[in-house]
Amino acid sequence: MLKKALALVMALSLALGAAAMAEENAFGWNVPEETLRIYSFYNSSNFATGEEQDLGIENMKAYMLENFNVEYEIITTDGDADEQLNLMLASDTYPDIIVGASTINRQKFVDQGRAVDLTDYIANCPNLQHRMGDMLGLYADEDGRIYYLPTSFSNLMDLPDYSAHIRYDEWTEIGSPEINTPEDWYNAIMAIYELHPTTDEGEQRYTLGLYDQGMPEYLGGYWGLQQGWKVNDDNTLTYWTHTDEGKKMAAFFNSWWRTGTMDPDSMTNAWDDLRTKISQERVIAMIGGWWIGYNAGHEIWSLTDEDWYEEKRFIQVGFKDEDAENAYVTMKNNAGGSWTIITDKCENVEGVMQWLDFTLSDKGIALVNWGIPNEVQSYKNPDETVCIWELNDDGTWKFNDTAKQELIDEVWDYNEEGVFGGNTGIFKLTSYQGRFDDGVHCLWANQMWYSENKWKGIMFENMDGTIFDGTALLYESLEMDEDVTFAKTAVADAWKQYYPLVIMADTDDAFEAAWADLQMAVESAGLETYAQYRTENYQHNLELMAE
Amino acid sequence: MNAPAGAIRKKRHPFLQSLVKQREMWLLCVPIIVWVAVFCYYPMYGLLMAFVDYVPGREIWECDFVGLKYFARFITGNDFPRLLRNTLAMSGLSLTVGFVCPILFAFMLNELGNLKIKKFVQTASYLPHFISWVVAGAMVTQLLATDGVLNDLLLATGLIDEPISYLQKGEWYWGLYTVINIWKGLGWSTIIYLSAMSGVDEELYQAGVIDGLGRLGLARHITLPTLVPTIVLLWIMNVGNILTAGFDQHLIIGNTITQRYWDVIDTYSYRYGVQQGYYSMGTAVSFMKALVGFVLVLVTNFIARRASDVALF
Repeated sequence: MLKKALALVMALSLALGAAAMAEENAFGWNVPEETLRIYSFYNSSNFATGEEQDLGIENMKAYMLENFNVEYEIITTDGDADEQLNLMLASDTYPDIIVGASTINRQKFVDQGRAVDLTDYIANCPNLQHRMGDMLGLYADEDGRIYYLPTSFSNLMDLPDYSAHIRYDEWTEIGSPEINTPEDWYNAIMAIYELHPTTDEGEQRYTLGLYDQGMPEYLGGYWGLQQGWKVNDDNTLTYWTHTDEGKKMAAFFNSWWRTGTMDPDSMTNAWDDLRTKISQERVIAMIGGWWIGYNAGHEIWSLTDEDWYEEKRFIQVGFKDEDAENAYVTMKNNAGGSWTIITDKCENVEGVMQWLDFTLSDKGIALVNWGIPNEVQSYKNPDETVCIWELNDDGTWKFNDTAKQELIDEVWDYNEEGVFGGNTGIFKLTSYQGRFDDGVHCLWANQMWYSENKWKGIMFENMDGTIFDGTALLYESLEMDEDVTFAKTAVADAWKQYYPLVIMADTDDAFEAAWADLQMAVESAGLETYAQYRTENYQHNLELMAE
Repeated sequence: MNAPAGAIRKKRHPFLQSLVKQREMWLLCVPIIVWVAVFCYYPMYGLLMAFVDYVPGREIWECDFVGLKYFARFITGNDFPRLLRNTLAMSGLSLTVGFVCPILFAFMLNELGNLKIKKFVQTASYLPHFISWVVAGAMVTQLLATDGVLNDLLLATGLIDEPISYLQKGEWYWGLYTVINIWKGLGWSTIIYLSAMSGVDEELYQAGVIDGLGRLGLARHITLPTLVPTIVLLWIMNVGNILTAGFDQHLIIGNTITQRYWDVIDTYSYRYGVQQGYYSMGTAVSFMKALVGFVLVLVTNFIARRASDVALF
């Protein structure tokens, strides 16, 4: 009798316990009984959204509350994000989570004890540990404690960041010459210019358009520099302004400038300025993000030009200077350059970390990046629905076939994409940017199935050999003191003021004088201090990664 | 009960007397006094940030005291000579050319006989004052860009063969800044001079005419002396702003090519002090600027009082 009573009590206890445990939904998320609040500051300057994205954000918030019992409250800014964060810190009004903090601001939180020690919580985060692997050790302090995580880590090592571009149809028109060096690229563009010096409307065309002061720190990669640095044999670093390679790069663009065919605003263009000229077909070639040719080129022309044809688009081209060992155009920092902190204001760190861990699972990544699964009301045609990925009740999922084909065929409607709620990035706490374990999917909907898209295939073939792991060079593992941060800002200010004058020099003597001025300017700005820090940081990273 | 005969009545302090006598006026002033105290004087304790290594999130007194470290850093920094040069050049142009233009414009307006035209010109002249610098900057960019309106016009008329990059010529920036500032502020600054001119007694002009003065003579011997007190007072106040040479304009119209010419103390302070979060640096720079301005106002006021009996205080 006693045994039966005991058995009954145990069975009842188990049943009650099971009822009290969180219910797992189709995503594999244990829905908590009490609403989990995710209150964060999204540290991204000049944040702006379109109407469809605003709708998507509201959709996503409602979806998360209903299906996950997670309530998002996100602070964004349309001004300078670092400025806002500093003001929040000074006034003690920062939220529970900071997403995307700079290294300097991250350090302020850690030094003041306002960043929660995450070490013990990480032990219960299997997805985080799986995605990061040995990299977790990079973020530990000398006592082995971890106070922050990278906001973005890992990378698609086949996806370039930067590239040179050329119009595909015009390049085939001149006989598709091989482009192996910067001079080959220049000659091809000049040949195109000779045939088409003006647009169909009679407006002058430019052979080359640049933005962001010509991005010497990235474009130096074509001449063998690694994101603005020459890595010497003894693992010391020399800044591009004091290298032969840097000067050769400057001389190349200066000689181009002197032809009078470069966009005269190249040294003052912001991206939006150049985009307008590209979309008006006034620019034959440009250098920048791999995506600028898409964004300002055929994605606009396919909608606005009645006579648009598929070959009327830009393609990415890879080349390197004949003296360069490699074209280090894209240096990937797999360890991250901005940081996620859970602050001392967070009352449920365990809950937040579990949510963070969930968003690193395959379905979690899909949710916060692709957006809401299954049918969602269309923004353009409210009577219809659209779908990007499908999730079944049993937890199985797949990318929607129609959406997949539209992405492969490059007819995917990016304006409609906003309605799924994922493409603003504000729901991520920490973002894994590599491929899922299946080796196919990733957080960007348009970076899958390359082999099935002709143009992506060309991009990857052309840009092969220009993408490198730059983690040791770029990851800031050593703390920056005030002198170094001042020098870093001052050096950047200095080259932005003086490098354009080098490019715009009218004669050889003027070029030499301007180059000397540039060198003096960065030296006065504190280059020695900054270079010393970067060298020590690089050598420290090499040791860390060897361990 | 009356005071005993022969007792001396104790005199009240003049301020207390005024307080009692004009209590209604003082009562009206209370909100303003409170506003000034709360928003202008109370925040001054923040100046202490200039003397400590302030870290956002810590109280000022919890931060390390560093004395004049940030003042010295700014003054001995490599950027200081250039910043000071740019600031003084542009404010100097504002104090000379920019100061004189509204006076001349006021004289010209005052000479206009047709009242309708006078009012129209006056109204049109101070409309730019109400345009924000963002809009004004966009207008300037549209006008002066390489593919802007002015270049299109000059190319179409054959006056130039190639477009001129006005906004990329650093050497032209100070002049451009002065012209834009005058365009934007001319009409508004003229108001105070015009109102001073309207106070001149007509009989003085009549007497002048009888004495054989022409229009130029009337302006020189009657109108101008009337304006002298106003000019001196405004001059004294403007001298206090000698280290202020714009801010919004430079961020909107300037670019990296011309930054060597437009980077002034305020833009530097914003870049390092606010954007980078080095509040101590920003506070030290602004404090130094305010101190210099204050001293200059005192000195200029002293000289003005000695030279002309006209002074701010």
